[in-house]
Amino acid sequence: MSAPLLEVRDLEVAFDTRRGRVKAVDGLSFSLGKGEIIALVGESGCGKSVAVRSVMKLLPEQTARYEAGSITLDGKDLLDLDDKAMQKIRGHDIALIFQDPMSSLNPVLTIGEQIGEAISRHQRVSRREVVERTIELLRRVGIPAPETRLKAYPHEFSGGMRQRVMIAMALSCNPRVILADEITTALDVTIQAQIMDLLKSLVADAGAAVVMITHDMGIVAGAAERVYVMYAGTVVETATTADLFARPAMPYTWGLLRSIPSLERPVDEPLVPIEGLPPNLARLEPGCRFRPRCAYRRAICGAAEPPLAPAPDGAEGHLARCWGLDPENGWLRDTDWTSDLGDAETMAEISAAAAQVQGEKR
Amino acid sequence: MVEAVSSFTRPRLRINGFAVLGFGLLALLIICAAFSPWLAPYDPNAQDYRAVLQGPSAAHWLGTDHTGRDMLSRLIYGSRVALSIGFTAVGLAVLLGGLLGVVAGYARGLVDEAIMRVMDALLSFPSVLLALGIMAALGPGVNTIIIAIAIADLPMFARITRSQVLTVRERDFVVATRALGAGPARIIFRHIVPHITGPVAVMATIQVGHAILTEAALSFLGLGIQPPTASWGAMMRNGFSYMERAPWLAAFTGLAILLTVLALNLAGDVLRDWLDPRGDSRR
Repeated sequence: MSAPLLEVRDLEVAFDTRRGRVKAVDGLSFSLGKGEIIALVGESGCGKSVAVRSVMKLLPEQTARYEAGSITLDGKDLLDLDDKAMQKIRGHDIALIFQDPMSSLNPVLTIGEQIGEAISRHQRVSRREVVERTIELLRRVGIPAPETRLKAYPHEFSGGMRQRVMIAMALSCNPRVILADEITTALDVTIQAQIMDLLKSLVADAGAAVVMITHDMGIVAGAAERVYVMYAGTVVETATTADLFARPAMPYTWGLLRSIPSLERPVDEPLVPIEGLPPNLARLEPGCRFRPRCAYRRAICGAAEPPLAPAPDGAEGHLARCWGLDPENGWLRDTDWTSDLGDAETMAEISAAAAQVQGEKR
Repeated sequence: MVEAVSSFTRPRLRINGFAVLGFGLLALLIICAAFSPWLAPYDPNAQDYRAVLQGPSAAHWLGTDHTGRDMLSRLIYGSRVALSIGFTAVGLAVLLGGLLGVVAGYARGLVDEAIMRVMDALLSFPSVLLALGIMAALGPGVNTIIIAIAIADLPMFARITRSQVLTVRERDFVVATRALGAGPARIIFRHIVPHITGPVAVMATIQVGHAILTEAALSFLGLGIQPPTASWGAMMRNGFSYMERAPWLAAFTGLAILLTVLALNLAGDVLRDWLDPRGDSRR
């Protein structure tokens, strides 16, 4: 593989909060090649959105600290750049498409004004050209009769159309990297498919690379080439999409896959949720981050954090963070995740702990 | 309270009695101020010693003062002084206070602290007292009265814009705009300022009324507009001295001030209802 376009290495980002320092991103590494689509997957609150915002350096300056690691775009470390230099990169080299198309467009400016602004920010073009290119962009993202929609305000558009507008804005300067943060989450399932198809075709046309952030394994399967499963601010498993779905290695990934509704599954078979909640990042205990919710845990899991090591299937670039996969004494290397749900006693303990947390909240 | 119930059916711009009264009075005042030379029946400074302290009559609708000057003409010319001082002073306060508020709210941190602590210090004085102090230091005159009122009102506008900026700057579309590579100036003026004009406009309208009151108070105390210029405050003071012999002097002047402040307050309230996105069925 040639040198990656965007590479994040051992990134650590912490927030100063009233209740102490919270490490939202802790040793995150991923790399993105030209024209590649990768996905960061995980539950809410596992640091996905902070990770993409930190790549753009959009985190609040007062509270966010980059503590370690590097973010390199074409060999240039973005962490060394000041805000002025970052302004040139944002939108031009890296674009971010937001999660919520309802609130990510300015309600007091028209669609045409907002896209036009995105176009003229990084390019010297005449006003007429801006209008032409705006129409062209709207057409590319599949807005019908774009000439007539330039003067429309965001509230006159449906959610799916607004998401298309957001994509048009992100594409306006032909960025090389697109960060797509849960772009389908707020949309209907049918619209989700349309938007994903649109994104894929546009990426193929423009040769941009995409980092998709999602919690939806179905979308990952349909679009990404490589998957990074995130948990509590770090990567716990990574593989090509095919390898990950064929032979997921560690219990958290199993949990994610088990909770996908599937048409092939008998209707009366319940989905298996992952019990409990992601850990409080302000009070991380030593050992494996997933241990408190893992039905396969053993004593070693609480002793030290497992390294990101090659998974037992031996596929290239398939790495997982789990003591159960250790070549010496791994007890999960040959587990069939579809039938073995883990130790029943441990499971009961986890459920009890989760119920207790719920009770305390109430 | 009935309005709250009927808010679903309310049209976009609800024209009610208050709106008509407020904007009608305001329009009348502006016409008086703009066309004083044509509207006033007499020269406001022409003295007529054959007709001093006369009550309302056909020749002098609102009577005359102690030097025989026509009260109606003086009140009409006084509206010029009142409105121009009110609007200029508040305009200045909005511009400066707004700028400080936007800078404080956007920059946060030390800059915010520095600006807002100075504003708090200014705010801790009653505004009339503060204006009085500034007038005493700078000496009387139209310009100094404008400066005094502007400085006294400035912290309020700084506060309101700052708080608005703080809420708008964290909204997704601002972050989205930053993600497209926009610099601070562009974000502030194109994306944040349009969102905060509503509350500021409402505040400013009401504040013009207060400014006119402050001007009247300062002139009443002899620190503001100097004779013979027709100023409502100075006329009030004059009427005050003749309270027993010619009560209409103070009464008519007071009425003019009252109606002006009332008009501006009503206009401000109506504007607030119109501009409040939660208030009615605007989409």
